[in-house]
Amino acid sequence: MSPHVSDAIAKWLLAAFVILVFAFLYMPIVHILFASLSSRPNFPYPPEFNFASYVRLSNNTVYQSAFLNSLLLASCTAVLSTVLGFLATIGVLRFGGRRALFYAILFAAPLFVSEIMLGISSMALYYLLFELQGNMVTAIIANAVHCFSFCFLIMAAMLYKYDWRMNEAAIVCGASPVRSFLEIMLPITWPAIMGSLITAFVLSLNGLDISFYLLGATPTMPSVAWGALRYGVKPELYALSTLINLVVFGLVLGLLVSIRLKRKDA
Amino acid sequence: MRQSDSYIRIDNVSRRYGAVKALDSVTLDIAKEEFIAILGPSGSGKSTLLRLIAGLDRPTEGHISFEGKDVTGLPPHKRGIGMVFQEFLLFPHRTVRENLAFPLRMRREPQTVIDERLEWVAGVLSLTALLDRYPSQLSGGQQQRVALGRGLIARPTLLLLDEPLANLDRELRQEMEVEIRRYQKQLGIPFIYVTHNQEEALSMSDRIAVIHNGRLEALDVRQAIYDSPPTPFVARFVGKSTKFQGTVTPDGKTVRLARYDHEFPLPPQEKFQPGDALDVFVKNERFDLSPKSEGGSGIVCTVSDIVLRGPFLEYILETDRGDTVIVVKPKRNDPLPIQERVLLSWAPSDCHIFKAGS
Repeated sequence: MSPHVSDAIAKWLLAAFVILVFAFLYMPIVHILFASLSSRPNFPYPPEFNFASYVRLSNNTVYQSAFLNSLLLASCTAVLSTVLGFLATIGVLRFGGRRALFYAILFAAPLFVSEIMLGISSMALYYLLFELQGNMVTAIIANAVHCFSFCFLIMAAMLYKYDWRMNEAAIVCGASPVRSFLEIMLPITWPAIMGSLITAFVLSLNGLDISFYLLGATPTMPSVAWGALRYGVKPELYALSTLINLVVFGLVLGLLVSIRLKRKDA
Repeated sequence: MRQSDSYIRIDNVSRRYGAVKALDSVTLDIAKEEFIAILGPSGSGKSTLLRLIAGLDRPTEGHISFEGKDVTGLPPHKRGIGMVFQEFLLFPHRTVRENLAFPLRMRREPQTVIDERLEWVAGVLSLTALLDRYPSQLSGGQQQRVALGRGLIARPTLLLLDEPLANLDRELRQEMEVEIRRYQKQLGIPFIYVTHNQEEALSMSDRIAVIHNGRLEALDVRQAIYDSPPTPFVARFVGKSTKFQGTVTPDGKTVRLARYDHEFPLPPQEKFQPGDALDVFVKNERFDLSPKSEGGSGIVCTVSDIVLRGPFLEYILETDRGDTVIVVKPKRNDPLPIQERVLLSWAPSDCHIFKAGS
């Protein structure tokens, strides 16, 4: 076999392998998309499209309130953990000095605590300290604890290269510290902040464990989905999953586009 | 300088970081139309001094005043200064126009003033064609000019320059040295120029303040700093010179070198006692060089190499004790040949003599 031909074969094999990996990653997601759109959700091949599942989903009030609860929970968690993560990033990168790595590890460590443990422990702690029953606020706080570490890592990785003297340059130009933050630092570090917001939003939107222990009877999408499992998987669940996937996909796409636009500017 | 001339006054200013004294009791008066260079090696405290003047840092002791007004406690954005950084620090998400207009916007100037000043600064610095570009689309020299424009556009009380030419190539640097001095003379505001590069300090400034280990080592007009350095550190740091060790002979009239068989008369204005150990500094361009065959006195050396530096020749000499001495001479068509044995000497008035270890 000539080296030319063997090169070509190697290339095809590699391409096939890459396709296989992507198929492995995306098949379940595509399957759910098909199932949600099919009149026979349990075995949707060959597909016969209709929107029955989505109609049933829209008529189901439990799912609707779960959707709104999850949206509220995820939005508040994303903002709270991003603000805290941003402050922690500034603290570690700018004022950490020689102990920066130590502080960074402390901030990132909660990443390795299991979510179930965090959920149970937060529930117990809030009850012990404040006699606080599980509610939306405690769920947001506990979720923010979990998401904070992700937000910190994402922003620290991206702000690592930020030149803090940029703020000084703005200040000697006559900008107050607040204006220097709003006009200079915020626009430059925007992709890092967006990345953190989206990650925290997606994590807390999809997270079951923490909300499960802290929300009590308040339904969220993951908890409703989990509950539904016990009475048999219904097609509206497929529709719900597909919608969530689309939202997440849209957010990630939005992030990529915003970073691309930024690059073009700079 | 008389105190009444003082436009910027730095009064006995110190800055400590824990036990480290970054700046130690520095007093400096700067006149309104003066270009002053703050010269020192890295870590000498010169950048600390600049940050204190800018207000980016606060002194542990002492006061700073602008036009008779104490600004020691005033935050940087209220000091009305301009500053140019070594890394330029242009705002990457803003166009050249927006970068230049930034200080005016921060001072809430009306749009007509902004437009007028933009036109002025872009004209002076030849930036008109670049106004709508982003900093990443500019060359180093262009970025430098934008940084300078951003520093000057708001007509600041003074302009601080922190090694602004260090990131430029040699040719551009020399061009900018002339330009920057020209702007300073045009605008008539003080420029305080921090550098570790003695050539920049000498080529641009009216006066030079030499900072060493946090202390003001010398302060004088540039010619005096170069021609009669007041301390051994200044003699070593400003200009390129060679150090010899020697002692005053018992009659108190001659200096005898320690490692070489050479003596030269002690200049009459120098007050040293017989037997004093001395450090003798000679600027590399002040040496006399003659072929050994012609006789006379001096340090016997061999020409080991010749480096051509445009209008100058650098003779690399090796003494019989194995030391290297560099001698700078105007270029000639018949330089001394390599391997020639030569005598190295200097006129007594061309060397700077200090007590050893002072």
